[in-house]
Amino acid sequence: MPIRLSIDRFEGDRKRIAVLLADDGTPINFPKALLPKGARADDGPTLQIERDAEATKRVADATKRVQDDLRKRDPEGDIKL
Amino acid sequence: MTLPTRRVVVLGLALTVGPAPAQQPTPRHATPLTIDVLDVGQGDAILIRSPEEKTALIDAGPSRHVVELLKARGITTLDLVVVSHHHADHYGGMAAVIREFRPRFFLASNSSHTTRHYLGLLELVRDRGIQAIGPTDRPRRIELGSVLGRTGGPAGDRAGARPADHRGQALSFGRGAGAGQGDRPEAAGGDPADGHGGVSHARTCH
Repeated sequence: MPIRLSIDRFEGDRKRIAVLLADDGTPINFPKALLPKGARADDGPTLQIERDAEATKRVADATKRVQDDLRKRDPEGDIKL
Repeated sequence: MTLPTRRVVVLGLALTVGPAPAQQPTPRHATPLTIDVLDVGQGDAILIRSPEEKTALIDAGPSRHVVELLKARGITTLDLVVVSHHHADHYGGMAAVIREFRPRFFLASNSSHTTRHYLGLLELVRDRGIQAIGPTDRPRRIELGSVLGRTGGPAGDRAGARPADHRGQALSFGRGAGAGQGDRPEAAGGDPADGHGGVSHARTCH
């Protein structure tokens, strides 16, 4: 379900952080670069966040593959630097 | 955890490799062991320099800013880098550290908690041919010159007592400095029985 927000202001170094407010006043710091082009203070954007089981699994599987690759190269035992 | 100020602990006490016989005096080094707790804002980054100028970085804070902090301290190479656990405020600057200093060893747990960002770091370690080491069934001894480190057991976790995103690497140096088990304040600290104490107390976990 889309979350209704308001762009309250821009903050930080070069005003790169947009402070978005939920309807209950909860502030969300959000990179300005990820807002739609032309977004400005007082705009009322919506945000939709969904779980993505397939994408989650892809990252988990890829991580395990790389961890396995790294583990194969582990000399094991004690390490002397 | 936010570290509002940079804390530096300089330790002049000798640390020896292996327990010294009780009747012999502990040898002293001209250069002290130093531990710098770098001010990276959120998260941690701790630089350990042994008397033999071996270097280890435990965590790298949230961004590449840590590279400038290391350069400002004269660091040109790193022998060991450690990711205490898979949260971005602890490893966010590590890719930049690896590109800049190409450490000899990369130590991280095999926790299943991941993100695309963390995956990218592991791929960088693999692709750059960095020697990765991880937890094993028994503690591993790491000799950073005369400074002894020791890893904990698998994933630094006790039988799944911690949620996956908090599983990390248990590592102790001497009596106190360590990368903890996730954000777990009570986990750091070496074993005084080792006999290579002398570190007053510093740790990465919070």
